[in-house]
Amino acid sequence: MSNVMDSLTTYLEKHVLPIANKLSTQRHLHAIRDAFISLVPVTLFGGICTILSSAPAVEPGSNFLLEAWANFAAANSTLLTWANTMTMGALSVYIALGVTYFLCKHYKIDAFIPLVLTMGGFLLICFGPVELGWDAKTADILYLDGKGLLVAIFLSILTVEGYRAMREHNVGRIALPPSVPASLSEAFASLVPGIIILAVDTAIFAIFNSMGTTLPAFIYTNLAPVFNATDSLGFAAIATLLVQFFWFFGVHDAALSGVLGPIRDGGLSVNAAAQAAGEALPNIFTTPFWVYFVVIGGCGSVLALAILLIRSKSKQLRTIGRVGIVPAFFNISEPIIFGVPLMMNPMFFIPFLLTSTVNAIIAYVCMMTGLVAKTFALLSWNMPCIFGAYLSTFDWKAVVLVVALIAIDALLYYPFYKAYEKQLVAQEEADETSAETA
Amino acid sequence: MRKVMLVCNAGMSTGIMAKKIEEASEGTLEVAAYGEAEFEDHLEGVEMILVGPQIRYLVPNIQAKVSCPVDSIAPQHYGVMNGKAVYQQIIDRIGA
Repeated sequence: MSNVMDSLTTYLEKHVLPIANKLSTQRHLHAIRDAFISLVPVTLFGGICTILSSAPAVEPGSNFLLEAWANFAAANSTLLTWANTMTMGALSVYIALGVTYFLCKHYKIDAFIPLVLTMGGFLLICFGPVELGWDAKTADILYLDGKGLLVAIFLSILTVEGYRAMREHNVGRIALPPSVPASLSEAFASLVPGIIILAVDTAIFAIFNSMGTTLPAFIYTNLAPVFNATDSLGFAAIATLLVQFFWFFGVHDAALSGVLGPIRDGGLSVNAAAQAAGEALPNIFTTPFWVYFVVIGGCGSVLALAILLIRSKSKQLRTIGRVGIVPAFFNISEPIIFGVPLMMNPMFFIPFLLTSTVNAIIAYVCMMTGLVAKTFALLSWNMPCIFGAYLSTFDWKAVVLVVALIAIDALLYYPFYKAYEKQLVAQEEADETSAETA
Repeated sequence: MRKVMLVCNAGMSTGIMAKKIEEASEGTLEVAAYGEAEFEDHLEGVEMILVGPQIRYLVPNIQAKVSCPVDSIAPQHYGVMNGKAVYQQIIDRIGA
């Protein structure tokens, strides 16, 4: 039986590794992923502002600190909302710049002109003119947040690809005498490609403007069912299962985050904007949902297992538990995954796939039914889940939920852990007796 | 001091490993951990690159970009953060 499982996992690994390689080295997905990873200062700053502005309602005279906080939030609400709107709430702007930059880095071309062109295209396409008078200009910035993400990503990819293709084929390259300095002839070389790209962007604006809308608004209203599908119980469960499947082979889910990252961060950005505006939060499947409620202790939801391990009868498991519990507390699961090991260990196949998926389903249902508040801020994926759960929702019931999920994970791991422990203890005893007789 | 680089997805879990290897080397190695997005910016003077097992599928891609040897860290050493074993792996490859 175990031999069949072993050869099956080896066979699967041979096929999973190339897929992981393809997905994670695909240059566009790679650039998207790097852009999301690099935006931590922006999302963190926005998150702090949203939290500061979300003071809990208190009875006057009940709690001095909370009251001072509520007064501060009320007095500075414009400031805090503006700071969030222009950072976390303008996620699409930063993503457009990030994707452009990392794609240029991949192609080893100087990023400055492409960044300028992407920004120009973004302003043209994603801002909606309301009034363009001489002394007062007003534009609609509704699609700077996660709702404009799809356009931001495609715009930056197309800008870089278009720019690169035109430069490679010397489109509009003006032959200058060799006496002209190199930097100047470079500037001239980007002149025509730049003008063509901005003209295309303007044409896109013109088309949608004539229909009385903008491209992101058009996409967001017409693709609404697709966006809704990515924020559903089924999608959350399947995405979790898929990530866990990769990790079972000890393969980082970076391979998938080029796709899941935009969905999770986009959802968060829309929620943050709704929270700042005092409206109901629309999304459940967000980044904080993922890091604080689904992968508790890192992928594999290993925090529960780490707690079991530190009291194990097996010397090996006890050691790994002690090495791994502190990282697991900060959502780093590699020591446990590679140390136990959970990776490619047929004994743990079922609980390893199941725990995070069960967490996702339970947490999703709790938030869908309104039992627990939805998430609107992300501080750091390294923040221990119980704190993260509270600070991302401002709901104490979220903390109860996380503790309950850890208990459920422990129950799911327990029987498999016990069976594995028995094997190891027997092995360790056999080793000891053979060492004594030797 | 000789320079060795560890690479993983974000340089987070290899960060723990880097310290353990430095300890095991008794001050002969300088070990720095970087994320896979940024490692190319820090290659100067690096004599060997070790890749975390979770992105071991990237070893050929990383090797294609650098001239020094590239290996992945064995999962069982990574799991218990066995700095000694990985130090030995480095010495076997690039010499003491």
